[in-house]
Amino acid sequence: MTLKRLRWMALGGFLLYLAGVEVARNTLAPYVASVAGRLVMNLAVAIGMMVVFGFFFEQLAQLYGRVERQNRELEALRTASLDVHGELALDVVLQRVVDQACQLLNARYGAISVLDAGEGILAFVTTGISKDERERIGPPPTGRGVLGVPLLEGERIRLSHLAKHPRSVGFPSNHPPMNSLLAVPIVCRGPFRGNLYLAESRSPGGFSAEDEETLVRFAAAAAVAIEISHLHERLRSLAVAEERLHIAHEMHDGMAQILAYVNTKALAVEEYLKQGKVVEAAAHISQLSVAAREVYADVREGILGLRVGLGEYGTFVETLSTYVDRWREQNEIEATFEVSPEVSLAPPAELQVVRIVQEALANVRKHARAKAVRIEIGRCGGVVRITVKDDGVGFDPAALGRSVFPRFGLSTMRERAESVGGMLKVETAPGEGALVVAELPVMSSSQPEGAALEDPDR
Amino acid sequence: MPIRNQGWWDRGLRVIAGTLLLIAGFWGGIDGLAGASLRIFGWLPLFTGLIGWDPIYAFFRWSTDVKARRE
Repeated sequence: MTLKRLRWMALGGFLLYLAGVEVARNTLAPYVASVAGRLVMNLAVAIGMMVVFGFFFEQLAQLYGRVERQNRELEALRTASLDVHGELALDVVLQRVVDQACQLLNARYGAISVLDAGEGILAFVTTGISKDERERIGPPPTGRGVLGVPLLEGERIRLSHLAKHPRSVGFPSNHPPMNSLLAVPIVCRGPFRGNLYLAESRSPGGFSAEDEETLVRFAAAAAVAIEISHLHERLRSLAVAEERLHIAHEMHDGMAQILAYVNTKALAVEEYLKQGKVVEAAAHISQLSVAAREVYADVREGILGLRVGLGEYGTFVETLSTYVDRWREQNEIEATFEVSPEVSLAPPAELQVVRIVQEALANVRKHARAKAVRIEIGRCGGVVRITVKDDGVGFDPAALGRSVFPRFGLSTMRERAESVGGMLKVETAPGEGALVVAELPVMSSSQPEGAALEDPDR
Repeated sequence: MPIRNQGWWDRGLRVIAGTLLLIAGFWGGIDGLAGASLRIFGWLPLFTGLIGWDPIYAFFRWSTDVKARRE
């Protein structure tokens, strides 16, 4: 019943009521002079009004009930969508999608299958069936039967008796019996697609048309969550590739420079020895020894940095904590690490934070002659602030040109911060230690991609 | 249309009772105010029995329809 139809029915209903009253008046005309006659007439009018008003209130109650039900469904849909969007790992997202869909529509069984671009099954996740039961059932469905309708043809399907469908090919052995089925396609923009299906509704009338619409809306929300998860995984692999490029760059700029220096010194020593200048050769060999120790320390630090990679020790905070502990043991410099709990960064930014802290600590070891260093990570408004402060000798930043060595890897650290939309600055003076501050944007869905922070130094 | 709130026996009773009241009112030889009342109020059980919905039941959320009550 729509409001427009109800309006016309109200008009017709009152006309009918008036006609009925007129008929009653004519019928009771000879008796209206008596009290009993008037009572009967009034009773007829009252009952007629009760029928007419009752009918329209009933219609309004139905409309109100439908709106209330839709509100409840939308609220459940919103809660389920929020829960699904809160996760980034694909397999966990799929499991939550199917669990929430089952709960939302009161179904006993649920499943989601995702096909890759080559029509191979990328993932198949179920709920309501134990792991042992799934193993006994065998391989997941490939869409040869009824499930092919949503999976391969992109059509939704709602059945009260699955076996009666012309495409039904029956169940494999050990499959639990299923009658009612509701299946909708999941349309993603990514290189894959899938379907979400529920079986055995616990509601008395089976799956309704409203259930179908709800599942279609939920599948659309689930498709976005699946795409986000897929993009997140791609982002991770791109971050790894970018990090490899950085390592190659640093090997070229760092170790290759020192090895070239070693080569030059070795040639000089050879020449001095040919000329019998043993004292000069010994001085150069001493310099060679210092260079070898330096490159050895660099290599050890590099290996430590690579070993303590993201993911291996849990979150990036745990990774940094492990790195700082090992760095402290390796270099005998007091290092403290503090992080506030509300810190949240995008995966590429997490990796850059780890590398910036590693680079800053390498500078402390090489140049600062510090006794203690303090690393802090905290949230400050819309940014995550990373500080590395040492009590070493410091330096004059104004005297630090691009052509002057050592450059302390500041440009590399700055590039790392800027690559994820952040900024980096160094506060130092001779004899006053050094403070490296990096500010990176917090991970936020509302923040536009590539939004950069303003650098107050620029 | 309104949701039915009468079971099959309730509807059957109403249709039979309404029909009998109207027959008595029109052809039962009952004269006067009583006959006129039967001719008017006889339509009520017949009409509500035919459509399966009663406004009094609806107001008090009653139902004699087992299926509707279960849902």
